[in-house]
Amino acid sequence: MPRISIPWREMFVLCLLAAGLAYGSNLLRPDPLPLWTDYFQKKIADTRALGLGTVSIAEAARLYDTKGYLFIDAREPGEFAAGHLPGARNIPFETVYSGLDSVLDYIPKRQALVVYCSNAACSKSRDLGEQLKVLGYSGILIMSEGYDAWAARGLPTEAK
Amino acid sequence: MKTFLEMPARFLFGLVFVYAGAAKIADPAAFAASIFQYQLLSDWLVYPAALFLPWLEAVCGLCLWAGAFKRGAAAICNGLLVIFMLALAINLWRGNDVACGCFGNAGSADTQAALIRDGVMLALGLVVQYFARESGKPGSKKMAQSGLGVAAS
Repeated sequence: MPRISIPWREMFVLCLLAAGLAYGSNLLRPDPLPLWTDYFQKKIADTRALGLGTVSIAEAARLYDTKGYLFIDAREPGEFAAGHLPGARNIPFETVYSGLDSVLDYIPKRQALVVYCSNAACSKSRDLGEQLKVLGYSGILIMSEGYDAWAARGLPTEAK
Repeated sequence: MKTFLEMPARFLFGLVFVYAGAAKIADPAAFAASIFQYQLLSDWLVYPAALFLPWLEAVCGLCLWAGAFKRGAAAICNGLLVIFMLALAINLWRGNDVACGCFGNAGSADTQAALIRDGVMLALGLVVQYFARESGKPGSKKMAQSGLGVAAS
């Protein structure tokens, strides 16, 4: 049985070198990444910079109870069929490329909207929200944590 | 036989890591988005990881090419592959078909295919690690020739 020796010293030197290069190259970039920033909060800030509002799951649940908001699911039809918020309309983000206007005929421009996709990592809700804004909708809120977080909290869902 | 296999295996393994690292160094913001979609790291660590990991891959890949620090480089590359495979497997288990992000935006969106590819890479990496271990033994002829006796001790 051969004895396994781990080359810790070499590994440490290589990690140190990579860290130095990563830090130095980032400083030299025209658009350096912020080193110590909460990625999710940065994503929310970027969404707001586009002129879209954002809501947490708790806030979205409160808005849902008011019945004054139309929830729009930006995921694919298969994902929507597997589970969605009761009453939500499925407008897959891909609709943007195949005639979003015709899908939106029945939604008045003054309607307050909450758009969501799968989870915090997806960007379909933000991208769809941006397109809706271009088409003249003004009251658009993005539920940034997505459907998965909604379902994980035990809030109402339905499948069909 | 060992010499016949060692160099091509090491070069190929190094090449893949240099390519993967360079693709992500070119667009760290896209790689940060890939890391975030795995939902495994703290949100605070996404940007540091997006900057550090590609450089670690590129540095280790170059070292494998050059034959310097190759024991450490092979160990790190194999460790990274194990971590990547675990991350992919966890998301497969969660039902999230994440885009791998392994080669920047050019990576496969098929989690299972990415897992298999990483498995093949790991097998190659273990061969490289084995040969590097042989040449890195204290007192070995190759080690004395390489002049890396102190660093590889």
